[in-house]
Amino acid sequence: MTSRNMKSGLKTRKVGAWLSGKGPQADVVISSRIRLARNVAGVPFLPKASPQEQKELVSSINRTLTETLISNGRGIVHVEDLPPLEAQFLMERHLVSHDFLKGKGPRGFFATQDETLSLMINEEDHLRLQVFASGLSLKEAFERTSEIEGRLNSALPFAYSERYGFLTACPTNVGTGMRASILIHLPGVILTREIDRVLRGVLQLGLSVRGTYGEGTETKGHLFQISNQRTLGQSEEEIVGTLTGMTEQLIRYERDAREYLSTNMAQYIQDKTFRSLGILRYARVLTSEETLNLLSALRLGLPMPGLDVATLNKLMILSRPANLQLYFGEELEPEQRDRKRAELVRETLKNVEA
Amino acid sequence: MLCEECHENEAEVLITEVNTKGELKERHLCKACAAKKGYLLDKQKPLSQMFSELLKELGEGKDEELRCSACGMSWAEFRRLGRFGCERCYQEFANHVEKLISRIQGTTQHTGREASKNQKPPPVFVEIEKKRLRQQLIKAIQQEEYEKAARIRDDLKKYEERTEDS
Repeated sequence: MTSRNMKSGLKTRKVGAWLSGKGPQADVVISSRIRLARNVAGVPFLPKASPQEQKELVSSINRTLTETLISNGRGIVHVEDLPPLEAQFLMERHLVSHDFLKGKGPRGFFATQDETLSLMINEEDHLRLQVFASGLSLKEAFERTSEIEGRLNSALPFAYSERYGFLTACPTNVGTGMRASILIHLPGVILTREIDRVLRGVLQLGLSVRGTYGEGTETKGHLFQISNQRTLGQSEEEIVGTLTGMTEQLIRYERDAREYLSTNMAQYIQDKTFRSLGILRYARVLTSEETLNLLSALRLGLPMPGLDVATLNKLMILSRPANLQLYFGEELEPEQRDRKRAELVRETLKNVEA
Repeated sequence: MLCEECHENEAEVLITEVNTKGELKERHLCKACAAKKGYLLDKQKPLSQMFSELLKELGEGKDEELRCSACGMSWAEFRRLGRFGCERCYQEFANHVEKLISRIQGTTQHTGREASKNQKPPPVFVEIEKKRLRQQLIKAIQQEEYEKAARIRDDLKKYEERTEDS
């Protein structure tokens, strides 16, 4: 199972460019994401679309991707033909949703090689377009999303009303059809026990806080996903502006908390960092969750010789079950996985010095 | 210190508000007022939960059999799925839709970007839709539902005009 055998053509040993750690404030904000929901005008929404209509949606959108030069020679993937392991691999990389994989009938998936743009055809809406960027770059991500949406809309009419804006299957997405979100690492705020207070401020702005993999998922590794809840009544720029403003404030809280910790609890933090490094560098068995939590502690300990944000981001993705199996090119039982995960982590961090 | 909201109970909760400019404001409230204003974390319902609760109460009992004439989705079906069957549902269930959107979105007027205008759906979908309408028309005539048949015939005409244009 090498990359050559991946139906999506994605590389199993490389992660998306949005995990490069090169964007603004990427030491605290892992990534920014913009998602747009659109439906093709004149075609029933998914609950009422026939298999034939679903199939035609996949091929029409595929054709549009080619004509508008978005796909750049890459084809779409027919999700129903995707091996389960590769499907899970895509989900772990945030390129597709759980609901999309569980869906019925013809569905299409597209991603650019660098994984900063992905498209789901026949998820909850006909079209779900996502753009990812490193660090706090919502504005840039939105501009790119908007440009791509414009190209698609020049060839495909979208269901739209003057009053409600872009019409979506679920009225919680109507209007802009836009969900802007950031993935942020807040260990300082958690350790100083300020997290509840801080998150309350986020909720008051009408934003929602969730775990790493969306609604209903647990927060792991001190990572939070923050996004707008409402999609109507605000322009796209206002939504992006509110979330960016809030995120800048969260970054200030996090930096203040880290400052406090390094002044008042330096030994505790150092001990926590180096213990984590010790386990990661020498353990022979690592579970997915333990790895995430230890990586979080290392992230808090940055800067560290031989270690950067990109490496931590990469391990965060590659240590997940399906990614790990495809990295090693074989299907593995859970216990084998924990051993292989330890091997991957050990190899990746072998030059990091305490 | 007394609660800044009701000025009666002892303030027990310190609320830190952050506005979009990133300015901080602190308020001392009692637990009851903080909960009422939705400031207590566990009292705040996620939108998805609010949405499913609304679906349960909106148009319960009556209007269950109300149907979208374009896709055939009934109001009962929408309440079960939480998803519309087509863009026309937004008009066909107008009364409920207005209430629903205002409750979950806090407003009912779009102010964001507009779709590009004068667009035609790809011909293949027009063909599928026409075929579906023709089948419906035959069925309506067979069942002697002539009013319905007339409506479908009008829709069909619209579709035929659209394809002739292109």
